[in-house]
Amino acid sequence: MAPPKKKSDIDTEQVLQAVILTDSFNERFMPLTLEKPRCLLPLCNAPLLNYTLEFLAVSGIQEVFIFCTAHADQIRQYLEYVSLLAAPIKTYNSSNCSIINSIFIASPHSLSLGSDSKWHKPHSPFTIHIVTASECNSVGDALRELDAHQLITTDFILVNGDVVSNMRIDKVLEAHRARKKADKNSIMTMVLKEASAFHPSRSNPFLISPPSPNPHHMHTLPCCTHRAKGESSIFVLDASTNECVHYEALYAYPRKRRVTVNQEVFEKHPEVEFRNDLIDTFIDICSVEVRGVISLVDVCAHDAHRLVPRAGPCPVHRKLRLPVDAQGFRAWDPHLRPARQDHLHAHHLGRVRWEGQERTDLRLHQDVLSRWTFPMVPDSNLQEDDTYEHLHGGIYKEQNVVLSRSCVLGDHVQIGTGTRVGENVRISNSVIGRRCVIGAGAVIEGAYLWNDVVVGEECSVIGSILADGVKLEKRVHVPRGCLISFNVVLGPQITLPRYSKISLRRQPKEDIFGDEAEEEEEDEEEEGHDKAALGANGQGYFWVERIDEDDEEDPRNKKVTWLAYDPADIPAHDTDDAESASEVGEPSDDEGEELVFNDDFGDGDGVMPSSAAARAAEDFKREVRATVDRALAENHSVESAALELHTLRMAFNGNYENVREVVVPVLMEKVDPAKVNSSMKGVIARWGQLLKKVMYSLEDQVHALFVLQVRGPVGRDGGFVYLVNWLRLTIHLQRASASVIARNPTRQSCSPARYNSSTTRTSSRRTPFLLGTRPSGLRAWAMRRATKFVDWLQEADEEDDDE
Amino acid sequence: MTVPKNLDAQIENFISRLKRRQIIGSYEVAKETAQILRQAVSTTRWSQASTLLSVIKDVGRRLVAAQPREQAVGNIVRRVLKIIRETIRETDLSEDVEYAPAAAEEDSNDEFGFDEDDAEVIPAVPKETRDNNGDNDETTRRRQLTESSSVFNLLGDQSAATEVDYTKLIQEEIMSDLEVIYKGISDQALDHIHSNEVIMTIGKSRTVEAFLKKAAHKRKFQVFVAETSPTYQGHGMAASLASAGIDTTVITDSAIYAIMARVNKVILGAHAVLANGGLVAVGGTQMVAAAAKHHATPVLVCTALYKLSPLYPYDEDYFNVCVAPDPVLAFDEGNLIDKVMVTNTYYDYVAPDMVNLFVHNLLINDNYDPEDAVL
Repeated sequence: MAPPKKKSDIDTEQVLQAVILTDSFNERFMPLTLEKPRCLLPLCNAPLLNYTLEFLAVSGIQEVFIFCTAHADQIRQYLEYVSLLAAPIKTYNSSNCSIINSIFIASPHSLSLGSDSKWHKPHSPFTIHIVTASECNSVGDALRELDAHQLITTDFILVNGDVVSNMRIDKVLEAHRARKKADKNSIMTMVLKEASAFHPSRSNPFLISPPSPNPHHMHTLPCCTHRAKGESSIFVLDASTNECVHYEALYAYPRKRRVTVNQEVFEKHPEVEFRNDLIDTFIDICSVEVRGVISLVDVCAHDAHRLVPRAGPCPVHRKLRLPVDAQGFRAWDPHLRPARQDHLHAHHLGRVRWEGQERTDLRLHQDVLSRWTFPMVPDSNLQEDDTYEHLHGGIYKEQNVVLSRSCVLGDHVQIGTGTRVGENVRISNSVIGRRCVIGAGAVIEGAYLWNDVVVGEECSVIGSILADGVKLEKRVHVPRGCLISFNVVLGPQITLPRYSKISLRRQPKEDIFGDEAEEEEEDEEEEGHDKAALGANGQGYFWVERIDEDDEEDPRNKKVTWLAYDPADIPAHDTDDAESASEVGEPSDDEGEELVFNDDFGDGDGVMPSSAAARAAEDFKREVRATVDRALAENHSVESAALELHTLRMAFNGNYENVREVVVPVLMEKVDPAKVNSSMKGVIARWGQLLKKVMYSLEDQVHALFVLQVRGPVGRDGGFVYLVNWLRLTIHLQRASASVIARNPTRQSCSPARYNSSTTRTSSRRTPFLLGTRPSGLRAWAMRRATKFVDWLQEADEEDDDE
Repeated sequence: MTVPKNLDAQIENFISRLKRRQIIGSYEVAKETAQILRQAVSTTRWSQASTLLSVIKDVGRRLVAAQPREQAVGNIVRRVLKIIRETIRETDLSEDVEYAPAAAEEDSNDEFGFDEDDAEVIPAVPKETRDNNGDNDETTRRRQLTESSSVFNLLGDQSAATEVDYTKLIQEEIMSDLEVIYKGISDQALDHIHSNEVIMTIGKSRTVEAFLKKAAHKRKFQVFVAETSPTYQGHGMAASLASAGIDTTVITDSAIYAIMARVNKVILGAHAVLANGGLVAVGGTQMVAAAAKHHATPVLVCTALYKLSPLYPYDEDYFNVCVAPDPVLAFDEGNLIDKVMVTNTYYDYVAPDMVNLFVHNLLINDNYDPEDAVL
């Protein structure tokens, strides 16, 4: 009885199925996911899977397949919780490709048993099937597995086990069906969310028209590099139909400058949009056909994380335009979003970026606590034994929480039942699980404590995750980004380094996905726990970031995805190496004078971390260098070279200082060292105007001189010939240049007074550095020459004045 | 006390829909609650009335816990409990002529929440319920029912027969009431809305909608609808009124105060009416009421009886719901949303002194025929 009335009318004709992939096919959250499957990691004290199921329940799904690779037992246990289950949970095991374990227990269900999961009860909106497959490394594999079991019979929704969304899928589904009716090949709808102009991961979309015929088969297009903190993607959409014709994942490092799109795309689609402002929600609606396509073509799983259309002709399925003809679906589609009604555009919150991608995981807790996910908020008590109440200031408190009189709870705090908070404790922006004990004087900020955590007196926990049963003794300081796995004991009186990962289990030597080689070293090398770093009573092992040589992924990507990652923490030298390695080798080799869009500068973050700024400057200089080289080689006019430099500078938000640092040495390289005087004259005559365009004030000229000194070629006279010639020649170029010689240390004392002509108001604030770096003998010689020169200049000045 | 499985499934289904906010609006909630309780009454096997009471209480607690801010759930549960209790008392009365008049005071407590566990006591201590002011039609109905149930009682407390009675009673007293509330309220419209009046309202209340439309059959008047940001229910309301031929103007919420000078009546709907007469109403109502008070404009609240809650607003915010901040500040606003805390409360609390008149579906009309209003 009592079929959910509202749901059935969404889809009367057929059962609606959903496939949940509980594995993300990576090992980012490793010490934790070693012991607990990722989809059971808690978000605001409720397992992630719960949010996903809740989302599907709202969407009117009737049958759910949960696809597990690791920890299937735990997932099943969570879903069953008590042995009394009324609805069947069927279990499939793929190792022998047959259903080995079908549980159909219909036992009288007693209400008094506060069951953890409501999903298997008779009122559960859907039946749940758990499908286990141990060897399965991608989304495509998973779907093939399901297909092998003949489990999927209708259109289905494919989601990750970590989706938090309050979007209503039914409208999307309708649209999907309508589209499919119109075009049989349109068999998959991806739900994408558009980020606003202010979204951190946004950069300008740009529209390109069909390019001119190109001898190359592939088009190479400049693309926006992305400052998203982690991976994001570029979607190439047909502008009129929203069909996704190309998809490419982007990573933070190395920054990608091009996407390669099959030319066929442009032949078929007159207008194409390149968008990287679309956030992938990892919710797809697939028609049954997807199943078949995937079974036949195993190239569809473009990368492990995402089912995507494959660019390029597919030999097997030429008839289908593309193996998976995905429709980019934008949340703001007019027919999708009823005006002013918020039930569709409802802010899908992205996946729970446990890897901390676009919104760091800890942020996500705050998002939930600030009710963006409404109605999926703690005080909805979606789990049956929850008793949360929403109080002022975004505080969520369960029953039976003991708060001391003097403790201070800031904004966005969630506290589970049975937790005791001691005197003078300060907690803000944090989630605290059940039965925790927070000792007196502790400070907890932006942290996530799971259940049964003990925090000793005067500890501090900032921006970290403490898993179940962690114990901190007195005065343990856990700084930003730490990840302490189950039952680790720390302290007393230690301070962990940032981004520590500590687990009771030893870090396996091999890749987790390689083999089960991880278990064996429990007892060998029992040198005990790392007492020095973990404190006298410490129990646990540090996990270090492993960098695979053969892994093509940039190691910095992993760092970006660290918990509560702070961009300033990427070591600068690391950055420079990798950056130059990856990018220096590819100067502008093609005919196009492409403008490289770069978002690294204009972000609204305000303060740019110093390393990032340095890196940006390096990039910029490299570009300038390339431009000037090209200008010299191809003998551009001064105007066009200057224009190019200018544009480049705008694009990079660079400064003239950097331009000069490049331009001056490059020009000096053109000078023939054998006969400096004459050849320099030629160079200056040819390019002097360009120099003038990058020097505006006296300060600028001083800087240029400095650059010449430091970076310029060093002849037998320490480069002074260059200096003098430079000065002589630039004087002709610009009268004001005369004054810069006043920076000569020999004249430092008298310079402001003596050169009182309008051109000599050189500020002597700048340090008299010019010749300081040369050997002393040379310096003396140089100073003599300089003095002579200055005298000459002075005369010239006076002559001018006379005239 | 176990609940039959079917019923349990239905209850859980309702609960999860309440939690997921798939069912919103006090009318729908009330109706569904009544259905579930009727189901509970009809399917529960019970021999003693106290058993039935405790079952209903259990179910009621679960429903209320699912969405404590939906007052309608609790109110309907209380109503059902009241019906059962009264019947019990009357049957007991009819059996036992001796009664304890002193118990009458405790009676009122029952209605103010079902915390006290006096379910077991009730059959043992019969109470006087046919109080002096019980001169409405419920009493008459009850009187008839008393006769019938006493017959059954004489026949030896046949539970099956009595179940039917309760189911029927719930049907009659609650469900049918719910069906006619809009009519009951809007029938009084002509008494309150006069020709050429300028009326202001806010939000989209079905009651107010019916009220105004009914008046529009005979009278010509002008309505200002505040758009009710950020839900913009006012737009829908205005469209609906305009389609009924009412001269309707949508105003921004910020214009409420300015327009109020021209308005000569404010008609509001309510989500719930609390024990002190304060309203829980859609966000923005407080502003309308305050402006009306400043201009001494009469404020009239149309509300069905099931919205009257016995709970007292010791903490005004307790009855409020904070929904997603998205309509106020879009989630897409990137870094901004990390730096500000946005609270988007769905309801307003309006103090009782801001309200001049309540228009209910029962009471007056039940006691007097509208024909005889002017003698």
